[in-house]
Parts: sequence; C-alpha cells; structure tokens
Amino acid sequence: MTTVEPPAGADRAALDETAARLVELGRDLAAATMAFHTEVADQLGLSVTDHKCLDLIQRANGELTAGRIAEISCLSTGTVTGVIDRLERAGFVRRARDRRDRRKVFVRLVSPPPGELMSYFAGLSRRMEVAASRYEAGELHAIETYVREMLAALRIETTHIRDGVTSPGTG
Amino acid sequence: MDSHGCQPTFADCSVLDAVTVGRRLSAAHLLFHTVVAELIGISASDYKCLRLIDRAERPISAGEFAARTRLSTGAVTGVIDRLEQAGLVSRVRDAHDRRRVLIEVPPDGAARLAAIFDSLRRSILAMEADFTADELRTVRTYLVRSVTILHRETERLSSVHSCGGRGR
Repeated sequence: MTTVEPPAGADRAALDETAARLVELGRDLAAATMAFHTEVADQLGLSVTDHKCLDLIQRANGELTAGRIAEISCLSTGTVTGVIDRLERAGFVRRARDRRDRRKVFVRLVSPPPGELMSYFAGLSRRMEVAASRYEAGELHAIETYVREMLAALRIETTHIRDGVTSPGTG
Repeated sequence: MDSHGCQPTFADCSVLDAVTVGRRLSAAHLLFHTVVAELIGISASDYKCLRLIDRAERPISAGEFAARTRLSTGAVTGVIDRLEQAGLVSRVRDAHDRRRVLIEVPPDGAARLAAIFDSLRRSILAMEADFTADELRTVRTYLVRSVTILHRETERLSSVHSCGGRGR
C-alpha cells in the first residue's frame, strides 16, 4: 500500500472510526454470506459444512484427498468422512483410488457438475462482478489487498482457536 | 500485440480476482465461526441463533426470534434453554409489559464472546492502519454493496424455495 502519513487530531479520529466501522462491516458480510450459503445448502438438502466442503472440492479440480480436506477445512478427519459420505450419497462426489498409490483416495466431483448447484451461484457471481466493475484498477487493488489481509487474519485466528480447543491444558 | 480482441485488461483480471477472493473470504468466515462454536461448546445451529441474539439492536422476544430464524416456537424454546444453560443468554421480563419475556446476552456472556473476537478485531484494526483513508472508504463502499447483493440473492433463493421450486 501507499505510505501513510500519520494523521493528527480530528483526522485521526475520523480514520479510526472508519476502521472500526469496517470491522463491523466484515461481521455483516460474514452474516450475509452465511445466510446465503445456508439458503443454498438448504435447497440442496445439505448442511452448511457439507456445502462448504463441496465448494472446496469443486475448486480443487479433483486432486483432494480426505486428509487434505480435513487440513484445509480445519475439521476433524472423522467429521470429513461423514461429510464425504453424505455428499457421495447425494450424488455430488465420488471416491476414487489413486492408480499409482492404492492407499490414497481422492474425492472427485461427479461430472458433469450438477447444473442446479451452479445456477445458485451464477446470479451472485454476475452481480458481484458488476459491482466490482464500477471501480478503477487502483481501487480494486486496494479492495483486493484488504480482503486478502482480512482472509489471512481470519485463518491465523481460526488456527489459534482450533489449537486452543484441541490441545489440552489451554483456555 | 494491440489492445483489440479478447485479451483481458488489467481491470478485468482484478474484477475476477475480487470475486474469487470474496468466495475464499466467505469460506474462511464460516470456518472461523465453526471453530468458535466448537470452542464455546455449542452446536453450529445454536451458535447461529446466539449470534442473532447478540447482534440484535435490542433484546428480542421468543416470538420475534422464531420469526427471524424461521424455526418453530418449540425448536426455539430448546435453543434458548441450551444457550441459557451455557450462560450465554438469559430470559428477562419486559419492563413495559410484564407478560412478555425477552432474550438477551447477559454481561458475562457478552464478555466471553467479546474476548474470543477481540484478538481477531485487533489484528484487523492493525492491518487497516496500512491503508489510507481514501482506500478504506473505497473498501467500505465495496463491502456495503456486497452485503446488499448477498441479502438480495438470499431473498431471491428463499422465495423460489417457499414457492415450491423444489417441491419440498
């Protein structure tokens, strides 16, 4: 980002207020996203966690093992097994053994991807793209950097809390 | 090579990146809240209800709560019982209408929740210090628009749902 001159007095207070409002807005965004995903999951007959894992599998282009899904999602391997079972029963994914290493099991999306699933996101993606296209390259860069850093902060915090939960003698 | 044809411009790339990164952010939020629920020791759905009560602008009645969550009044009673047992909400009588019972997050429950979120809040505030006021304003308008779009899309989906789009 550009070098920031430390503002003084009223400017500083206004900036602090903008920053604090952004934290609140981040929470609003999380709640709105959660509501949207709950609605999609509901219509597909899945839980939000099942749906989120399906999203992970979809973005990985079929090269995910159950262990890797557990790693990325911060869920236990037991939970992930249950999630994959439900997704497999619902016809979204299938388990496939690696030809070279038979012990390795990949979770692959059933192709073609269910059109129903895609259609839920098409409208949202289109509207988000329209919203983003109203900004100039420099502004988009600031937005992207901000969101990326928020993402990093969330991941670090998630790991801290999870480790606090799983390791005995803390918290 | 000239700039005609289908070569994506820098701005086009950024539009797509902003959307992709938004999806990752939503996944990160969901996972964060999953581990928070685990930490407090309540189910994901009870946790969602707790957040609704915590974020309400004033204490709400069980009826309002049921309307907002679209849960049955019976299910709502169960949720409130469990959250009350965990010390995260309390039932209080409405001062204006003694027959009405309101649900709120008691001070120690609120303090417990705030402590969990505080570390995240501080790291986000620290990261924001690297942005200029103009940049933060731009980010703000973008996030406000994103929230509005998400609300509208959720409503659109749920209206399809309730009109029997899937015959449920």
